[in-house]
Amino acid sequence: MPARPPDLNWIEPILERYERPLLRYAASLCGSVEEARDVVQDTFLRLARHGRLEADHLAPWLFTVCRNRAHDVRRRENRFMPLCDEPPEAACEAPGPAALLQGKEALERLGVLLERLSENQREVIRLRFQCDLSYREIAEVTQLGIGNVGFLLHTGLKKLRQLWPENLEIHP
Amino acid sequence: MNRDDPNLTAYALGETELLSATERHAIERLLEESAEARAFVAETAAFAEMLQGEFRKELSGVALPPAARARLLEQSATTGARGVLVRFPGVRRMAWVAGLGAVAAAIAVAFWLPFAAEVTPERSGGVATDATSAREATQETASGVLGGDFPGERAVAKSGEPVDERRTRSDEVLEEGTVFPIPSVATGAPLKEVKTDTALAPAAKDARDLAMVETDAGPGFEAHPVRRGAKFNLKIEPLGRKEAKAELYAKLHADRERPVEFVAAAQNPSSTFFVGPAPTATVRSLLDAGRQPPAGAVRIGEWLDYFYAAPPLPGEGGTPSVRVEVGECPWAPAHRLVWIGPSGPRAAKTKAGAEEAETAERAEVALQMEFNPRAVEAYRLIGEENGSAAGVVPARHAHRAHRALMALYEVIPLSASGKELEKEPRRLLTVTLRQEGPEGGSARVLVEKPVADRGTPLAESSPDFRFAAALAEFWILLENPGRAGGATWASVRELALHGQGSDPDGRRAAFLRLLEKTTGQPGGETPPRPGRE
Repeated sequence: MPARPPDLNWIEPILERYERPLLRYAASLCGSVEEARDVVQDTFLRLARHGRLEADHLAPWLFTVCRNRAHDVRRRENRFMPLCDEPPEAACEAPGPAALLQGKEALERLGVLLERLSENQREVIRLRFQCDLSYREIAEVTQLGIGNVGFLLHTGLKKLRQLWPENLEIHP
Repeated sequence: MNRDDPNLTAYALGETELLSATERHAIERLLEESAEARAFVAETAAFAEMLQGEFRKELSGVALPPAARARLLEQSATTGARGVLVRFPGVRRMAWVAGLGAVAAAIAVAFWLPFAAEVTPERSGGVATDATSAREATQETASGVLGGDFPGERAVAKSGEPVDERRTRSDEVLEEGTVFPIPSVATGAPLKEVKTDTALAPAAKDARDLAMVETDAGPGFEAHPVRRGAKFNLKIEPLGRKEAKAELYAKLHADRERPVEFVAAAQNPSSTFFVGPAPTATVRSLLDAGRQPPAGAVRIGEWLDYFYAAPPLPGEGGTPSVRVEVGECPWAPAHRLVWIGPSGPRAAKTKAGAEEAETAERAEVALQMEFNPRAVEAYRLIGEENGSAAGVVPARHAHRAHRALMALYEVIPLSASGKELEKEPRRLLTVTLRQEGPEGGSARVLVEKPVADRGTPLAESSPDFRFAAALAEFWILLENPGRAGGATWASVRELALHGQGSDPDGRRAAFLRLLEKTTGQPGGETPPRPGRE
């Protein structure tokens, strides 16, 4: 019986869809683009070795592997995770966001504001708005309860909106 | 209106399916009644959209390097097939298998343990009807037919759904990389069952000769142990439209026998790691218990650290120094083995409680190897293959993210392929021990030492070198026995015996006792049984 060649390019659309979101997520965890590249490359390599995944499981799988690898890198690089959820006290003594934002680009602005959130809040906000994961997927990746994810997104968004400079209006 | 209700945010973000009908009705009623609530939802949605736009600007020009993409596509081509997947999981993989769910775990345990306990030449046996009797049947027949009906599968069969049973006999032997087609299986239909009949299989030597057959039948999971090197029958029962036909492939994915990956010295001449004392309690307890660790459990840094005297490091008094020895690689004689070990007397032992504080002090010491591309084709750090951090630290020891001041590199010299550019004596590498400055500060070089290869044969190597080589072979045999080269349990023992040296605290003797205990007779060839907690 003639053999049908296996689908050689199954990973290509996955790369197209998830390469950038994973890079951004990994960079936010590792703090370096170079390390993020390594982490994401390794994540895809693991997927390539693992083989196909059901569509429903793909995103949580990729982001979970990416997250674990990024944490490995961080540990190895000796940049330890904070022991508590809250941002360090020093953040509160830092100059207010309005002062920091003067003349900054939008991204830096966002980065500065995100620093004012707890690590968990930052992560779920990135996973939701940067990586387009659903509440359920975020819960799977972060190992947090889905109710907790909802709470963190709610409080995180609320805080971000409070911090958001007044001259940046939001138009519903 | 309660703005502090996370459900309102979830609603604004379109996560309505998470809300119960009651919650959704309540929110919808609120929105009808309250202009403030409507404004909150609209503002939240708009803010979310704005955030998405901002986030997407981040790293918009960053992508994976083209070479990495090419490698991914190449790698994925070998796993692109739908069908039957055969893995050689070893003991390490069992944790993962068990994690897939209660049923999978039951299957794995039911089939695994009897074989781990005893394996003898098989004869045909009956098909078991559930996990318990499967275990009994397996024990009774000592191997026999490994296929079995699992509770989930029987339930489907009983439900009267059409089952298109096909049986195929593979003339293929289960080896790494073999791919064979399984004919006439319905397109897109999940494989409901794969039964394997290993009556044709030769006797397995130990548990690690068993493979798990997995199907990619979606979230369902089935696993049957088969033997490496076995010829076997596959019985496939696809579920669904049997009229559609396609060929499925079985990828014999020998996961454990992964290729040994070397790093090309021309592209990546430098290899660095941070050093500090590795936790050695596991080693000690395994030695005390006379138990061989399961594959995946040996972190070579811990083992190296346990058997050698710790060198003085900055802040401990004494002059930091590094000893490097290059010799024959016992499992691949054309390769060279580079042992970077401590020099000088053992530093004052640290009290258990003081260990963490001391780790922090040592945290900034790093060891860097700069391989000479004119003499070295490629290298690998033993214990950290395939990008894994097996040799570094377990996750729970993140605060001790360091390894011993000791490392073993297997080096492929250019001379092995007749391409050598460097004149004798060959400078293989330069070792640098440096103290990292505070973040952003400059590092202080403590030791910098070029290392030449004088072609020392194994017989002329120091006992310390040979004992380190024994530990390396020990690790290789546990982790990747299919790629162990010339390493055998006898050679581990031989190397350890000649590497015992003065052994003032009897630790190396304890390792030899462990080998004898777990491999049967002294120097015996029986592979050790993995230890079980």
